[in-house]
Amino acid sequence: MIADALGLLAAQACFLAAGAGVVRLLGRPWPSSLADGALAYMAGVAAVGLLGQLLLIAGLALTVWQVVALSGLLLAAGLVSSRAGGGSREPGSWRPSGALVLVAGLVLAFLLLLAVDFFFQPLWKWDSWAMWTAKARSIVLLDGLDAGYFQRAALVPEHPLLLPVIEAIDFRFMGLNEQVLHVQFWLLVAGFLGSLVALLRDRVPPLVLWAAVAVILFAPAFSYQAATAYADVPLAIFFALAGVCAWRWLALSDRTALGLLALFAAATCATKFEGLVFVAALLLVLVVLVAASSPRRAALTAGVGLVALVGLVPWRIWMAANDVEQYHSVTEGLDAGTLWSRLERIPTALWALVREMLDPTSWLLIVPLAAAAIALAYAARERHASALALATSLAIVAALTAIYWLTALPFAFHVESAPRVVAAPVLLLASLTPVLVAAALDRGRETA
Amino acid sequence: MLLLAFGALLGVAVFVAWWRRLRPRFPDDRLGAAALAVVLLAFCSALAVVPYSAWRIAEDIDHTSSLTRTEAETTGASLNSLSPGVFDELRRAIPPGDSYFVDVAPDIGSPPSDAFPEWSASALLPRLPVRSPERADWIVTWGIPPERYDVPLAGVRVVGHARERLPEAYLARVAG
Repeated sequence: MIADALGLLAAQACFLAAGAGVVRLLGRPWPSSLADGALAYMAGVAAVGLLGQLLLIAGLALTVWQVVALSGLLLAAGLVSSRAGGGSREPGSWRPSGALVLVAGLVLAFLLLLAVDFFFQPLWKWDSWAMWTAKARSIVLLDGLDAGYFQRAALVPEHPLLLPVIEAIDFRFMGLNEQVLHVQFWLLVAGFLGSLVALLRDRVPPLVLWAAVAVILFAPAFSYQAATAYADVPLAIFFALAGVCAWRWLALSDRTALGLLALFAAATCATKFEGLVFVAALLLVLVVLVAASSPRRAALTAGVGLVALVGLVPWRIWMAANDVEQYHSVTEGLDAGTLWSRLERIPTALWALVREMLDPTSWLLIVPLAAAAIALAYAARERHASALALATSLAIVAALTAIYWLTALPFAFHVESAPRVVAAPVLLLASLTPVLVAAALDRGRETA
Repeated sequence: MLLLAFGALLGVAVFVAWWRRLRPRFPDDRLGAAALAVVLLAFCSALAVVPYSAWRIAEDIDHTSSLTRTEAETTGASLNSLSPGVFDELRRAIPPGDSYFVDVAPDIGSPPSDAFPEWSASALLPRLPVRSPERADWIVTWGIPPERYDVPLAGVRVVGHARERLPEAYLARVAG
């Protein structure tokens, strides 16, 4: 087990090196703190996952040396980049140190406990052993993408391959250890939380930021779903990071954030097919909000939508070229009569989604308190973050409701996915809440 | 239940203590105070579940750390009432790269009947399933004698019970 864990860590070193190059290429300085390292790591996972999928489609097998070469190339691109990285501004006062130490200490202790839990975790949920990790095993055992496997053996073959690619790379470095593989999911959790600190620490007081990190980590559904080795938490993580970068681009005109938005949006789309819906909702709202101040920036934002398809489109072309059939399609068998007869699904689906988002045994008070924070930020005249968080979440809930309305799958079966699909909008709200609260606190200090 | 109650008490205590300490920073401002309340409520409600969550995770570690490597690798099969030994036997008999056709008797209920082909698809890699017995090198069935398919067979054998008290699983080599 220990030797396998070291192999897995070697794969993570490749992701980190690749990500350090990518963030440098996008204009951030070299990572100089744990939080910056976490952001570089997440960028590396996204970039290697996306490019790895393209390499598979091109016929490569993602062997160890191919992964090392890809990571080395991305690192080298950062080394030769002339883009100067500016340091981030530290926030002002309002940092009660004792409380901050307590919150950060609790977060780190809980993360440590989860690390042990994930280290011993077996693959026990159906879709993890039958779909996600099975695809990764096929990449390793059949030496690349095998059309026969995806035609006849893969469960829901149309899901894009970012997660199986990452798992296949882990397997290449450590062997087929499906227990230690869960450490990859722990690293995504830890990397995500660190990335939030890296992306928001110049705008949000430390205690507010660490409290938000703690709330996300302690939410029972977050660690439970991450431990299942399903793609929903990785998808939600990439999407939430894309959302935070979208806010930075919207409110601060941060060009580095635009690049990271493109990267994380592409990773979201390449992780699971509903990622496309989430990214479309986010970018649509973002374009409308940006266009109000600058049509040129709105065009750049729309361009991100094209970049976001970089992993998904080649995958769909490969599927079509190899006669891989979809498990299901939203538009299958649709006509006016069918839609009319399924109208009663809409309130049921909407209620299932809202109930899951509000369930305190899953997501604590994240959503109601995010709603309160949106109202406070609006009152404090912070319209960017409040509009982005509210409109994107509503658009996602509407889109998911529409999918459940249109689905050709048995409705009761399909709507069972509600607890998992709400992870993305919930994490988006949780990630933007500290921005909203900080705006209200700032306003409070100004007026006091 | 005790841990949840303890967590709730802890959350309330921290909320009160921090509210008293931090509230004076926003003496005349209801907006700032409301934002502070949101932060504290969010954190303290999360804090309330930590003792219970930590205990649950510790219990989980206690169970999973006692699994052998084999038990851990076959958890998916075991949880769906499949005997992992059957798939070990199939792996030994079917050479890597060969194809197989898999079928389950309709009277075997779900989830085991659904899990059998799904577990095979992953556990038997790099052997690939095909959709008809005519195209297969091997036939793998559960509860269906392979002679029932209209293909010449070079040998049929029982590979075990995929689940106790249910019919046997068979392996047959397709002739030619």
